[in-house]
Amino acid sequence: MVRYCYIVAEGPQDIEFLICFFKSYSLKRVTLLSKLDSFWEPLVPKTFPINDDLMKRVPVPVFLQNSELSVALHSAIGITRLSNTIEESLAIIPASEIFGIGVFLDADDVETPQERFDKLKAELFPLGLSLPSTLGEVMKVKGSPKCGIFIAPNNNDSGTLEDILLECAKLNYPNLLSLSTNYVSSIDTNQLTSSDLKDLNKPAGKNKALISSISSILRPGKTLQVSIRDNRWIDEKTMALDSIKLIKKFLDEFILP
Amino acid sequence: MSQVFDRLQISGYRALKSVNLSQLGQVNIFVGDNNAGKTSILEAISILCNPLDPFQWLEVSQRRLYLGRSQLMTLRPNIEALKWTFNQKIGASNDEIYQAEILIEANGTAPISELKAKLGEIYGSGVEKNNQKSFEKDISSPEEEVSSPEIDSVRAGLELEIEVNIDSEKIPSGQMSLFPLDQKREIFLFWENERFVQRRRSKPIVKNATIFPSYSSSEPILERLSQIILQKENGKNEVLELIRSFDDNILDIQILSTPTATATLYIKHKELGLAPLYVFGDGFKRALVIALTLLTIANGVLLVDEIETSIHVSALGSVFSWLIETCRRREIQLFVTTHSLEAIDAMLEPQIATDNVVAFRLNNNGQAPQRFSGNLLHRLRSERGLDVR
Repeated sequence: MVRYCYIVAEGPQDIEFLICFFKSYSLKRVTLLSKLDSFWEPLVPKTFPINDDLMKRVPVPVFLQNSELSVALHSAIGITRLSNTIEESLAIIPASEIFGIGVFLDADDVETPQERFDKLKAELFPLGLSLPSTLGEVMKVKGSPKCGIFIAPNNNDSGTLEDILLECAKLNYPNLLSLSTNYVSSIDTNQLTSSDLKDLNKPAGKNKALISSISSILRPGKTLQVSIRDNRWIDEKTMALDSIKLIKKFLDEFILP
Repeated sequence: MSQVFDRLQISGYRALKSVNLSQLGQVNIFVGDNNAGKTSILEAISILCNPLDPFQWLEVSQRRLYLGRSQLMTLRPNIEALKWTFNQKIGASNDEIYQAEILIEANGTAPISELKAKLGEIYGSGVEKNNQKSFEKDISSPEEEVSSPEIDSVRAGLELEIEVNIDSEKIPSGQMSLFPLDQKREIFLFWENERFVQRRRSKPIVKNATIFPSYSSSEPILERLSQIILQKENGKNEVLELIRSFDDNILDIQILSTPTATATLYIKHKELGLAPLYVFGDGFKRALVIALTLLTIANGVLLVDEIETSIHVSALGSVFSWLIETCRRREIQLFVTTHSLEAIDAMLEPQIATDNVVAFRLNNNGQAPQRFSGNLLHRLRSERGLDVR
């Protein structure tokens, strides 16, 4: 019997990052609707444009599957949409047949991971899921889907996915990381307007700039997702990192029978 | 806000083994595959509204036979059709005594809280041959004359036993005399090939009306309007007020006749002048049918099967926003079925408060209906573009 797992993450980078882990489970990305397990078909949008917005990306999950496991990874486009996305999806797929439901998000610097976890649990509570009592734990209750919440970088510290990617870059792209660090720190901010610096001055702005600088060398003109997918951010070497091992352990508990 | 029906539990009606519809809204949309039971729910509600009227049972049981034909009424009970309104035991042996039961439980402002109906086979001595012949000459087709004299000696029939629980505190003060007891029980006997006669007709416990897909072309609009004008002093003005809230260019409605044509309904329109109804669009005609219906069911229930039928996609929004607002003002609870995503979207348009709308997706695999709040339905459609049918 196929195990259906549904994971909602904050943004498209998170999704591409998680996909790297699923390579070790021998899962393949499904790119054709005709090849998609009918279980997930209700999650494929039937209407365009979404909300009358011609610019909005079609909110379709990424589907990965093999003969035993079928995973839908869904970008909620923002933390405020995480619980709504889960509620909406569970309303139209056979929710009782789901093996596991996971949530992956960033801690950021404003709230502690625990505060974010408590808030998210309160939002998810009305859905009747067996929610975990602690961060990073995968709750297993007979008769209901496994459920886990992971807050990057490590369920404990403030930060974002970029903190993990920086650790990976330290191992696999030390030269690019060192050059990028110099580049970002030597910027003459006097030549830039406040509008130019708006995103850089955000709490995780500098880290994001560093990672983007590295990815712009590895995959010039392409998004960070493409670089995460194509380059050596997650490989055997970086799998030895504590933060990466923690995510792998979380996914193992979540996905394996 | 409490509705006519806040919750319905329907068991044993047609293929509905047990369906629980909770937290009903002012507007209730039923979606689902063919044979999922959407129309059956509307039928069950219409029977619940008027359970002590045997003609309601006969009419509802035969709707599907006559749908799409101009003549809905039949002259005699159709025993098989009545049987099929009750859940049929699959694989039941012919030797078993036929007995079926429908149970509908309800909460809400409606004075009825429970309807229990039992149906069983009965047999009687045959009718005299002379009577049978003259009966057949009147209404039966020649192919039906296949009975042998032996079979004629025993007639098959059905006994319908109806029991309702009425909450007398919820009955409007002017109607107390209609339902003097908290519990009412009636038994009706229906015989195959025999006209059903009843000395009196029970009033509906809840005012209700059903609009069918076929009504757009066959509904006797002229007769209905005439009836309203004749029965209510201010009837025509009420129709005009309702239809003007749909199209404020309407000045008047008149029934006119010429020496060469029969009476026709004319609309006095600000831009078109006096024009016959048939030149107007489907959206307007549908709105007029609905307006004539709404006038008779204030504080009651309107049931619309396949609401999208005959309304062009471009007119769906205006018809629905008008319909929902009118139902809200007249405290009418609306139950609709649809196969159309456009119709669902039209009912979720910004001018309609999503709090009032609830959808249920029925399935034919025996699972409980999936309930969507208006807010969830709105998000599924507008944020995700998903198909909720």
